[in-house]
Amino acid sequence: MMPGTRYPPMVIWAARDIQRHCGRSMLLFACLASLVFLTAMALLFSQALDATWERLMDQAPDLVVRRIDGGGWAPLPVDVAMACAKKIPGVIDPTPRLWGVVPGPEGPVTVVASIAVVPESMLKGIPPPSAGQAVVGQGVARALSGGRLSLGSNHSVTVSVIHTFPADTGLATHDLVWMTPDDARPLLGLVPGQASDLAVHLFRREEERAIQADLAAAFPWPVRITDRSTSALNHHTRAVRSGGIAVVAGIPALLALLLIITGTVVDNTARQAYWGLLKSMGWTTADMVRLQVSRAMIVGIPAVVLGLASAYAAVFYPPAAGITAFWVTGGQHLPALTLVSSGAAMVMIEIAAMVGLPFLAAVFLTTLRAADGSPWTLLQADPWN
Amino acid sequence: MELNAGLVCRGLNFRWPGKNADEPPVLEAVEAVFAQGTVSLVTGNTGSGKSTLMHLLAGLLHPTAGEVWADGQPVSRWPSRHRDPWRRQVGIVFQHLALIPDLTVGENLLLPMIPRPITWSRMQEEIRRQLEDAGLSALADAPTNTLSGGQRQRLAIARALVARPRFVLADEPTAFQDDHHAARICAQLCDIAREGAVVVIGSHDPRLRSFDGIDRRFHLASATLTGAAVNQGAP
Amino acid sequence: MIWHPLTWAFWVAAATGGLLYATGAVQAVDVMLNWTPAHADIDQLRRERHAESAALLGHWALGFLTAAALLGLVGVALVWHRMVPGAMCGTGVLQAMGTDGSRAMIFWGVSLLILHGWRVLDGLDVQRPQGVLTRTGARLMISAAPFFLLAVFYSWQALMRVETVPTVSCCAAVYDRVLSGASESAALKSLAAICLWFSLAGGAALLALMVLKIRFPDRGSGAMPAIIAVLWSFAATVALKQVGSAYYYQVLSHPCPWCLFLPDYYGAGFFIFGGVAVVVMESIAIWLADRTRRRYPVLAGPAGKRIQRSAWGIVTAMIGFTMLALGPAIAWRLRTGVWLNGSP
Ligand SMILES: Nc1ncnc2c1ncn2[C@@H]1O[C@H](COP(=O)(O)OP(=O)(O)OP(=O)(O)O)[C@@H](O)[C@H]1O
Ligand SMILES: [Mg+2]
Repeated sequence: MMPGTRYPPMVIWAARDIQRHCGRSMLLFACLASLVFLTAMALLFSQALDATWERLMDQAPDLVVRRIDGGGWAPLPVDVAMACAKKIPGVIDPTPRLWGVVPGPEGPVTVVASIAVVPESMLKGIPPPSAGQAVVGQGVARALSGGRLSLGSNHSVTVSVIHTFPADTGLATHDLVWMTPDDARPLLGLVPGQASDLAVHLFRREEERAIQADLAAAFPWPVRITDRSTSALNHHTRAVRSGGIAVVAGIPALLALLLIITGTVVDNTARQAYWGLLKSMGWTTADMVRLQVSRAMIVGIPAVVLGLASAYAAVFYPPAAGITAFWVTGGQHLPALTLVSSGAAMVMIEIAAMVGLPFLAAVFLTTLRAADGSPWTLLQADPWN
Repeated sequence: MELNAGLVCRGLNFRWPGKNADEPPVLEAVEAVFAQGTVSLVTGNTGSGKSTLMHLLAGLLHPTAGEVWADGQPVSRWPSRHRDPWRRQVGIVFQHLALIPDLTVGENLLLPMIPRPITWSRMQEEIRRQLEDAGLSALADAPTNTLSGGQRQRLAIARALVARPRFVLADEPTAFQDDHHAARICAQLCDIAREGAVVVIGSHDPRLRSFDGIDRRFHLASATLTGAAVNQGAP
Repeated sequence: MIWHPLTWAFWVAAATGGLLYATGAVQAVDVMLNWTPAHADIDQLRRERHAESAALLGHWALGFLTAAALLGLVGVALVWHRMVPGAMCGTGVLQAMGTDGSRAMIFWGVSLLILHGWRVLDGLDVQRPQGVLTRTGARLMISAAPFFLLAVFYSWQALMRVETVPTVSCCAAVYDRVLSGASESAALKSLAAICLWFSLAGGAALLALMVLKIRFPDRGSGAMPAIIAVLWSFAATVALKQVGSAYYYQVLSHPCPWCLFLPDYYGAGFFIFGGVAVVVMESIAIWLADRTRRRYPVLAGPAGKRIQRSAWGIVTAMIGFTMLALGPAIAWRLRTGVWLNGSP
C-alpha cells in the first residue's frame, strides 16, 4: 500500500495511473518537451534580440540629421549645421559625428571617430585610442594580422589595434573600428570642419515628430532625418518576425503530432470498462476529467519546465547559443544576448497559450469522448461480458 | 413501514433494448420495498433476471417503465449528472467481480474512495479495516491476479463495502466460497444492515436460503417478484 | 502583427476555446429542442448525457475563451503598441485597428457575459435533479454563438488592419484635443463631473442594496441592482478616465484609460477595470438567480445562496475599485492640500 502523504488522493491516483502506462507517458513527455523547447527557443531568441538592442540603444540620439544632394549623402559643414540646430526650441546638445563605412581586409567595416556614435553603455571603460591606434569589434578583430589593421582602398590607413569591444555588445559593435578623427577623415573623404551627420537629443521625446519638421526647414540644404522610434520599430519588427517565422514553420506540425499522441495516450477502448467500473462506484464524468487532467499535469509540467530550461540554455549559454543563433537567423553573426524579466514572462504566457491550452483541450475532449457513455455501456467493454 | 427510507421498486418493467416486442420482458410490474436496516434475499433460477434487477437498483440500467426510489427520491428518473454521484451511496458486488487485475488488493479498494471528500489517511484506515474483515490483510500488496477465486470474491465484497455505502447490492456474493467463508460473509452483510444500510442479495446459493440473518425473501420467476407483499404495506 | 507570437497565442486560445464551445453548443441544440424531463426513453437518456457533456464543455470553453480575451487584452494594453508606429499604449493600438478593434472588444465582452450567465444558471441547475433550468441553460449557451462569431470576425479584421497602418497619434491626440478645443473641453468637464457624482452615488446605492441582499437574499428585485450596476459601470469608467486617472499620471489633460495598464503605473488598469467587470458579472448573476428563485420554488434555496455570494463579490469588488480609483487622489490631496486641478 502507498505511504501516507499530503497530496490530494486524485493526484496520487493520477500518478499511479501514469506508472501503469509508463511507456505512453514517456512518449507524451518527450513530445511535449521538444515542442516547448522549439517554440520557447524561437520566442526567447527574438525577445532577447529585442531586449539587447534596446539596452544598447538606450543612449542613442533621438534624431539624426544627414545632408543629402543629388548623389546621395554629402558632408555636413559643422558650424552651419550646429547654428541651425540650436535655433530650434526643444533640441538639446546637437553633436556632429564622424563615421562611415569603408572597405576593410574582409569586407566593409564601420569606422567611427567621435564618441557620440558609440553609446556609453558599450564602452565599458575602454580608453579612447590615440593617433595611429584603434579599438575594434569582435568581427574585425578576428581578421587581424599581427595586431595591425589596414583600411581603405585609395587612401589606405594602417592602425594598431589596442582593444576589442566586449563580446556582449556584439549586436552593435561587431564590425566597428574606433579611431581618432584625424586618422578617420582621409578614410571618410572629409576635410576638417565637416562631419558625417548631426546627432540631436530632444527635451521631450514625445515631440519627436513635430521637431523633425522644424529641423528639416531650418537647414539651408536638403536633409534627411531619421528618428529613433522608426529604427527601433524596424528592429523590433525584425526581431519578432525572426521568432515568428520559426514558430510558424515548425509549430503547427508538431502541435498536430502532439494532439494525435495525446489522443492515443489518453483514450483507448481497453479502458472503457475501467471508466464504466469507476462510474458504477460513484465517479462522475467530471471526476474522470479531473483524473485525466491531473495525469496530464503530472506529465506536462515537468516536460514544459524541461523544454523551457533547455531553450533557455540554447539561447543564453554561449556554446549552444552560437548554433541557435545560426539556426534562427540563418547564419548572421552572433550577439551575446540579455534577457529582461518582462520578456521572459511574456514568453511563458505565450508558451502556455500556444502549447498548454491545446494540450489540455485535447486531454479534455478525448476523456469526454471516452467516458461520457452510460456506465452500463462502458462496462460491456469488459472482456468478462 | 416507512416509504422514505430504503430502496423501493414501483411498477418496474425491464426489457432488453433491441429484443423482440413479443418476447417476454425480463421484469414486469415489480413492486418491492427493500427497507432500511434489513437484509433481503432475491432468489431465482439462472437467467431469471436477478443480476438485471441488481443493475436496475444500482442505477446502471434504466427501467423501461416504472421507477426505483431511494430515500423517497425517484433516482431512476434523475439525469446522469445526479445519478452518477448518487451511486457513491451504493456498493455493488458484480457477479463477475470486475476487479482490475494489474492493481494490488489495496489499490482495488482505493478506487471507490478517491472522488470522495475524505483524507488520504482516513482512506488507508478504512481499507485496513475492510481487509481485516475480509481476511485479506496479508495480501494487501499482492497483485489481484495472483489471488484465488474465493479471495477475489471477498475482495469484490470488500470493495463494495469499503466506503460505507447506504445501499449494498450483492450479486452471488457466496458463489466461490466454502461454508465457513459463506457464513462469515452473511454475518458481515447482516452487521452492515444493523448499522442502517439496505442490503439486497441476489443468489441461488442454497446455503443462503437457510441462513437466519435474512429478514425478507423474494423469489424471481417468469419476470415477477413474489414474496414482496409479505412484509410490505402498499407503496 | 500577424508575426507577433502573442497574436498566435491569442488565436490558438480563441480557436481551442471556440472548438470546445462549438462541440458543446452542438450537443446543447438537441437538449434545447427535445428536452423532456422525467421521461426514460432512449432519446431522452442520450439527451441527458448530451446535457451533461455540454455543461462540462461549456465550463471549459468559458475558461479558454476568457484566457483568449485576456491574451487579447494584454496584447492591446501592453504588447502590440510596440508594433504600431507612433503608439505608446492601447489607445494607439485601437486607433490602428479602427472601429473593428472596439467592435471586437464589445462582442468579446457580450459573448463572455452570456456564457457567464449560462454558468450561473447551470450552477443552479445542478443543485436539484429535476433539471428545470436545463433547457433555458442550453438556449442561453447557444445564444452566445452569433456574438462569438462576430467577435472572432472583428478580431481578425482588426489584427489584419494593424499590419498596414500609417503612423498613429495615440494619446498625444488626447492631449491636443483637450488643450485646443476649449468649448469641447467645457462640455467634457461637465460630463466628467456628472459621471463622477453619479458613480459615487450609484456606488453607494449599490453597496447599500448589496448589504440588504446579503441580509435578505429572497426579498426585493434582482433587476434593480443589475441596472444600477451596469449604469454605474459606465459612469465609473468615464469618471475614472476623466478624473481618477490624472492622479496616476500626475498630470491633468491626459485622460487615457489604456495608459493605466502599462507597467509604469503597476498595471493598475487590470485591477481597476477587473473590479468593474466583477461588479457587472455578479450583478447579472443576482438578476438571473432572482428570476430563478421566483419561477422555480425548488431552486429557491440555492438561488438565495447564489445571491448572497454574488452580493459579497460585488461588495469586495467595489471596495477594491474604490481604493484603487480614489486612493491616489486622496493621497495627493493629503500630501499637497489641494486637488490636482488646483481647487481646494
Ligand atoms: N447484455 C445483455 N443483453 C441482452 N440480454 C441479456 C444481457 N444480459 C442478460 N441478458 C438476458 O437477460 C436475462 C436475465 O439475465 P440475468 O443475468 O439477469 O440473469 P440471472 O438471474 O442473474 O442469472 P444467473 O443466476 O445465471 O446469474 C437472461 O435471459 C439473459 O439472457
Ligand atoms: Mg446473475
